[in-house]
Amino acid sequence: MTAVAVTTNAVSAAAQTLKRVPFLALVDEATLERLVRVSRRVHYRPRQILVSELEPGADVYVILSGDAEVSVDARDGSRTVLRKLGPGSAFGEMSSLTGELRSATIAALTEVDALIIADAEFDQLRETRPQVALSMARELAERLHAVEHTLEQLLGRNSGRPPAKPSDRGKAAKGSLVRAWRELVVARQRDLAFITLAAFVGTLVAVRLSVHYAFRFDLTPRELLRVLYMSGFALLGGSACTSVLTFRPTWRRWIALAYGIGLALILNELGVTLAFDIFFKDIHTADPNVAFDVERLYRRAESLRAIAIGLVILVQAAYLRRFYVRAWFVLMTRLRRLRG
Amino acid sequence: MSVEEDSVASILGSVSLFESLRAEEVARLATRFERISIPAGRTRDFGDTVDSLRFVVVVRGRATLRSETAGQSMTAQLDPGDRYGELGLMTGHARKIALSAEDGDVAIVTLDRDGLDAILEQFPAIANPLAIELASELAVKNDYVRQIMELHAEGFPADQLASAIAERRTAIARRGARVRRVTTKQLFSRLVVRKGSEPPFWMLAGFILSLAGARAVVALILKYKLEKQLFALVPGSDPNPMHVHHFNYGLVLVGAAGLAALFPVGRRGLRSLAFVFGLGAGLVFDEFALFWNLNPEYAQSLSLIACGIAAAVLLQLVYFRAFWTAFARRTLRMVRGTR
Repeated sequence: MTAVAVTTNAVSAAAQTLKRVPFLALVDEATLERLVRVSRRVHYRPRQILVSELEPGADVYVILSGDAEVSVDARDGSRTVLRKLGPGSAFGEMSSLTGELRSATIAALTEVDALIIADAEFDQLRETRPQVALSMARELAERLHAVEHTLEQLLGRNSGRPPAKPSDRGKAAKGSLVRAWRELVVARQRDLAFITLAAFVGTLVAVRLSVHYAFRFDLTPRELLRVLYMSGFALLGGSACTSVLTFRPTWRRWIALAYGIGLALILNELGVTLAFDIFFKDIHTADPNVAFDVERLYRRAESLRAIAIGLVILVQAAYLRRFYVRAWFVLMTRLRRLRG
Repeated sequence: MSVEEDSVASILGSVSLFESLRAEEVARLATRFERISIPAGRTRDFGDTVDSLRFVVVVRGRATLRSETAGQSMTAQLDPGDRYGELGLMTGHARKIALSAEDGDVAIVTLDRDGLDAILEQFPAIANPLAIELASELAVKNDYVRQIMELHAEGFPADQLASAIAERRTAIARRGARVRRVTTKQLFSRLVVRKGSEPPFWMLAGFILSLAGARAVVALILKYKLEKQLFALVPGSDPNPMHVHHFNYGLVLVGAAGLAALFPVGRRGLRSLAFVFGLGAGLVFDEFALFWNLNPEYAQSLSLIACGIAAAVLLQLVYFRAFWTAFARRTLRMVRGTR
């Protein structure tokens, strides 16, 4: 994403494109040109994400040139393309009106130039030019009518799709190690749970070796442990926070990686963070007779137990997530039937 | 029973759709509405066809609304100022409703489709709140469409799918019978939750709640010297006490919320995860100095400083995100420009 400098001719051309947006069609040219001047013009490369599903944000986007596609991700991770957008298409107006999180992902198909109208500017435009709000209300009413019609059709259809048959390719490779490697590792390279698991295992191996040699050759192990567990806290906290706030696929892969590393660093030293009280006589007074032995803390059994639990949870999340989602659904359906 | 003009204008003025209009505009708007009295025990039907759709506002008494949506009938109560039907009127989606005066006489004012078009032309300022309501309804209905399509795609056994669909049908019918009331919810959303900042807001709410809760509980335990009874000391071979500090529970909450948010969740799920994250972060930062210094002394000023910094960061995320984004963007542009 790069910001683009805007010349007078470009302002006029962009204003003309804004005219093609249905809810801006009745707005006078001077207002549209002012809108272009106060808005940001941004260039996106092919496959770059303009807006991600569930991302917070209320700015309105208008495509000035190029094509983009609207898609949503299903719970099983599959992606459905809903429609394509071209010059003069606008999106993000729903979030601007409701303040809700983005409802779909918009990705550039070609080189795309987009005008990003700040939410406050768009609010002001709707208030000072009520015909914009009126056009939007009519357009939204039509969309709502269409969605209500779709809902009625869907509610009238009760048959589920038959489960997909296993492919011939799968049959041919049955039982081979290559197939296991392909299905369990290669096919999951972009799966966030798998990335977390891989980062967790890789970090554990590296850190346990580093700490082992730090103790063996007395390479300031206490400082090393402190840096490692504080990094763990920072990585886990930071990645957990951003995973609730950021939904760009590339960033989420980095978040998953940071989460796996952070979790491994914390669990690897859980014996240290859980057990520092044992050097105190009571909750307030340090015990002068007990030396603070960080190696003893590091070797406590809590860490190994916690690592085993963490590993089990991440393996379940990576490979058995779908099973648990279905099991939860079946359980809830049965419970509701029992109750009612 | 006659419906007094003053009370009609006053009730319409309290309807959020018309709150941007001046008093004289509301008085002119009121003349567009048809006055209808429903005597006690009687019922009026609307919405059989598109032509009989009405936007209804109750002026006096309590009306009972029965509606037919998705093959299910639902009931709701309408008090003065409550309204129903403006979205149906906009979409032209016929939905049969019956208004009954079960608890005494009821006075209502109604508007048909032509009337709504006329007031939108005459008072276009109404279009903005109307567009917001339409967009909110569309977002909810889009979510329902997606949920049901996913249910179909999952390939569940027929009986389980039918049960899940029936559940959605009931929820949609309930929404169809939804009456818009004069509530503080909209005011709360407008004044407290900045638009597009809901997850950070719930993070901040959880953070403050758990921080205040933890501080209060620990202060009470220390004041009444209940450490031995209430600080869960882990028994073991060591002669000294070992206590699982609450930052560990916080860490579990933070980790669980972060892991769950890596998988697709809906909007409501995301709000809950943000709140759980905030709760966990509050517990972790309350004991920040303990794990930073590996010292179990609770009263360390470093914890308070860390809590202050974390709360300030969350506040920026909730209320000043746009400012910081613009600042970062401008700084980046300056840096690139100077290169």
